[in-house]
Amino acid sequence: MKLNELDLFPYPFHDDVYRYSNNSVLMDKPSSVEITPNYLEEINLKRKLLGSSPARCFQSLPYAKKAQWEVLEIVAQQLADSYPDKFSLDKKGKNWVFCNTLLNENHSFIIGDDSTLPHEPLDFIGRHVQEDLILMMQRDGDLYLDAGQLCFPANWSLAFNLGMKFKEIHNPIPGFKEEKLDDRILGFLLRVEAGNPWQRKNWSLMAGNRMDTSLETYDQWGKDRKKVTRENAGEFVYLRVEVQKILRMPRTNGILFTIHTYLLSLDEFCQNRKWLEQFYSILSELPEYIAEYKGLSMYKDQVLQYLKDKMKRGD
Amino acid sequence: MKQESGDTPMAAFIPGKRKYLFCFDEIGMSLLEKIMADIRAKDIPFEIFHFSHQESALPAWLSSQKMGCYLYIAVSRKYLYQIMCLAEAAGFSEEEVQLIGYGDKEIHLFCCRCHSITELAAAANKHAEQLCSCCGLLLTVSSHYSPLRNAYLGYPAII
Amino acid sequence: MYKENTIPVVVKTIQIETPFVKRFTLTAENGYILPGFSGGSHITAYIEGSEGLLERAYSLTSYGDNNESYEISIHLSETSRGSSSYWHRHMKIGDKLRISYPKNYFQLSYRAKHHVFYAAGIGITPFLSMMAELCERGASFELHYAAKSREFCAFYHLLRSKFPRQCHFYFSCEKAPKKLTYESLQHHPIGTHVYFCGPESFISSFKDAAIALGYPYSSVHYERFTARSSKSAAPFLIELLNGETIPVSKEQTLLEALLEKGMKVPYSCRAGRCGTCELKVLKGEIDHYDEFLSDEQRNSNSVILSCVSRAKSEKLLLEYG
Repeated sequence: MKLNELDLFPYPFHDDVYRYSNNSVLMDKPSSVEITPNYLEEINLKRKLLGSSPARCFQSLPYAKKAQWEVLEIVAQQLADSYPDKFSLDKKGKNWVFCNTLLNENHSFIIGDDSTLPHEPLDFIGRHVQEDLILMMQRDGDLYLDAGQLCFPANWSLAFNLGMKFKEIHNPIPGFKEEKLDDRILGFLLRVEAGNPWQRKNWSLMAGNRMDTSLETYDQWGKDRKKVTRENAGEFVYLRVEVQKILRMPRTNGILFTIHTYLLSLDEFCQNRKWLEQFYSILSELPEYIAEYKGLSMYKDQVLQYLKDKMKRGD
Repeated sequence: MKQESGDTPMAAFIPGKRKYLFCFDEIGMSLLEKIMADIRAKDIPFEIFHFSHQESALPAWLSSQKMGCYLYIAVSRKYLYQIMCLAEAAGFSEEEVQLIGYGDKEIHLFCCRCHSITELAAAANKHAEQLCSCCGLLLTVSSHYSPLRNAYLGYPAII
Repeated sequence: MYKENTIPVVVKTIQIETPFVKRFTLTAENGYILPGFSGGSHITAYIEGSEGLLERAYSLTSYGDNNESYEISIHLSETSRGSSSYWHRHMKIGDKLRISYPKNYFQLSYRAKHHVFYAAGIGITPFLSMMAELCERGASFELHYAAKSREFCAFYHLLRSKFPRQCHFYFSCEKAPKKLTYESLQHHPIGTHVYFCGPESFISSFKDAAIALGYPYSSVHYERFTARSSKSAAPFLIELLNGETIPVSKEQTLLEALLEKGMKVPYSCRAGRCGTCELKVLKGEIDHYDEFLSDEQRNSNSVILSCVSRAKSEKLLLEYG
């Protein structure tokens, strides 16, 4: 039985008005990653991208190695604990064996010994999960992007952002600095504690269903936004939601962000009448600076017309 | 360490330090004159380092300093980044250094597509579109700066 | 309010370190391994005492790959409000309690070229794991440690054998008394970070001396363990700009009272951590319970996180509505 995509879709809104905010909530059941029915498809795509564009998809700084091992440990342990029929992690002292039955792979390695893994530790474990993994180390009272595996970015470049502080990374977001949101969110992140992870959702619209919307390939996929019409928006435009999990890593005191990307076409999305209505009010009220940054000003009107048509037809 | 971006460099006096350090070249010296005179008048300890005369001795001079010092660097923008890195390597933090650059600054442009860095001539107009010297993509220069790459991010100019 | 996940543990060993300090080893109740931790970390221990739940923070004094147990060291305080006295007089091997995951608000600097630790008395505890981490990194450090005498100096032998070159002791009550002063702050090379831990007066005098010498704030680190008292909530009133007055009962949060009235106050975590529900206060005294605002913001008495914080005065006038 195929689970309905609509049931699995992480609806991102809880109000009729959208503004940037720290919309993080404590997770009821702590976890770092989730397996969905798209697992094989997305893992294959990730591995293909990592093979063809390694510098775009994985970056690390030398001093983040110990923290990378902690990421591997946290993610592998959680996979084994949450999905015991699919994954296992067998630890005999420093000799560990990680089994992934979905991919039919067994990996033996010595924890902490880079030479026993085919890739760097974060890059290795990232090839077993659908999430993008971003490691931010806490150094001298700030958070720095010191390693990451990023295959499904929402129009940003990991290679450019490597080594940057949290506020430097978010500098291009309009209104973020002016409203002191960068200070507030940084302050929040610095106080995230081990054992008590948080979750937030982020959204945007995409013309097309491409997962790999990197800044590096923007010159290719960016054009598609000009092709949106009132008529094709339903099947051509996708709501893109990132479920971001924020965990403190106790051993190295870093922060691990895992980002799980979900795409749903507007046609499918609008099957839920409440979602359709709320999204219509959000989009019609959305300030231009947010629409511009989310890359949807070019076709916002077409989408609004489409949503309006949908609402009328439902009456 | 923040690099001031204005065209008229201004050094600001930061009080409450046990000793002040001044590192400058010929023109840079004039930019620090006022502060140096103030410090002399107040009889606060200070040391000077003439960058153009004894460049190679700079790392040792920086490392020999004690906690509680405050460093002013006033040099041509050509050398500013390099000296800032030396100060950082010696242990100076952002809070302990002020950078005053003069003259035209070379801008490094990071190509979002191929990750190459294009050096823009000092006189180049920052706001004009530029071709990536490696992949040839036409880029607009953004204000997004990476300290690690010492470069500004270039976005595709035409979509 | 923010209620953290905890780990159930068992007291495995109790050792006497000095006449006033005991060391306790804790292992996970279910036999699992415990989470790793970084130098300077502490845990919060929750104990059911005769006068209710005791909640205290203790530095982890063990360090390394051994994640089967944690060690904490507790000084019996004369003025103890129950916690250290409970640990010293009632805690037995095999007793169960809950502890938080390791937290670190006293992290080692990454950019420091040299680290200098100043400890007085039981203030030594966070430095043990910090020095061990620096050894592992191959970084340069030194310790200046003041105690009454060798006998009352916790970890004296361990420190001397583990870090013989880096430790300097100052015994005030021995035959040739030596006093630890902040004079040495003048001699630290550029790129040094200093760390202070001990009684409040010790921390503030060293901190003030460092700042007076011109040390930047970011190179000066200190840790205070102040227990947050959880008072019982009292009802209060809020007045809005439109003149409306809303009562907040003792079972309710300010946020809940506003939401109940149909006010669209933005909020998210409801735990005093994300800052979304911040409101401006024009009049009245605030009782802050959040973990979000800075000390400066707190003292300004002008902003409140409505999801957890309350009024000290009878009424708060909000810039809202």
